[in-house]
Amino acid sequence: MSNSPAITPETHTATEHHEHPPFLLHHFNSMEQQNDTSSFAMWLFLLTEVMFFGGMFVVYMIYRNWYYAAFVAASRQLNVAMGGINSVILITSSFTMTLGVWSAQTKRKGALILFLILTFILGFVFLGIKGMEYKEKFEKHHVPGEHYSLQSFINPASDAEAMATGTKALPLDEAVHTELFFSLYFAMTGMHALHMIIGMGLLLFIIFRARSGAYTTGHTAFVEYFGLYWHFVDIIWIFLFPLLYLINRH
Amino acid sequence: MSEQQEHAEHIVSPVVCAVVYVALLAGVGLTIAASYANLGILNPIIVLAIAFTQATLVALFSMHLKWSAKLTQLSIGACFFILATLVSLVLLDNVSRAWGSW
Repeated sequence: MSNSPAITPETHTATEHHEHPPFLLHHFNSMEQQNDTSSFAMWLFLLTEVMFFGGMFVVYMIYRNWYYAAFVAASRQLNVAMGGINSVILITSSFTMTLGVWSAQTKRKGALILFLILTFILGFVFLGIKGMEYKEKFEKHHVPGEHYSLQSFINPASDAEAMATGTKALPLDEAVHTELFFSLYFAMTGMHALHMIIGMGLLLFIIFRARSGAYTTGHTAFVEYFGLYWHFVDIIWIFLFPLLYLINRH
Repeated sequence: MSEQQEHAEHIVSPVVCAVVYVALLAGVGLTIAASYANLGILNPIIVLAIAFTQATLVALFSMHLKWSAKLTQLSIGACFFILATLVSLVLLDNVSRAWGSW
């Protein structure tokens, strides 16, 4: 199958065209080489994402050590039930995505579309729950900025969540650092949510293309790489959930 | 049918996916349970150990890393090595700096 090492530039005419799958690009020798190359590129992109989120995790780590009491008090304002349900939803969407990739690889068009739609719906539910959590933070003035309120932390008796979780009152100079926790909370979950929104846009495109059989004729690369992205977003949440919601619950 | 697949296109069976899925869900349950127990210094360590285990499962099986090209595996290892180096240096700076004495 391999080409002769021609020095003259290759020009294809209809008669001398080599036999190859229609999705094998001309600058690759084989499907294996093409798949290895493009999969490597996708992983490199994901590694830049690892470094990007890694920076935020380091900021979190340092400030959590400096202002531990404030971080514990602020973390207890987050709803473990909602966060936990969201973890289950996102892990389930990762599962449906793996089944989607399997359906594409085994050329099951109907199953592929079904699993992609399920993945989309689960992503949508995740964002809906996240939206409800954000809304509650706006109502309680726990969004960093001009209207940020320290009431829940300097006077826990005024706050149902603080009372329920047995959070003790913080002195003012410690309580101010709760705003830092919420800055990190919104930055990290916000970046995570943005990745999901982008992913769901891509998912719509993939569902649309899958309906015309684009991924069930042997060329599954796009679905596979989208799967990698979706699982990466899942991994980020696997770390965000315990680090933000469960700092100290006992 | 699956014999002709190259390693870049390894097919992970739904059974393996389901086992990983159940393990990940168990991880979420364990994480929540562990964080409500008072384990002192071990709390963050246990929670992070579970998270790293979950992430490894996702990477190896869901993301097919177990069957990926050596170049990809090595690059990911290198990325995490660099990340660990950078994090260590930042933490080293944090603990060794004479905070507040200037």
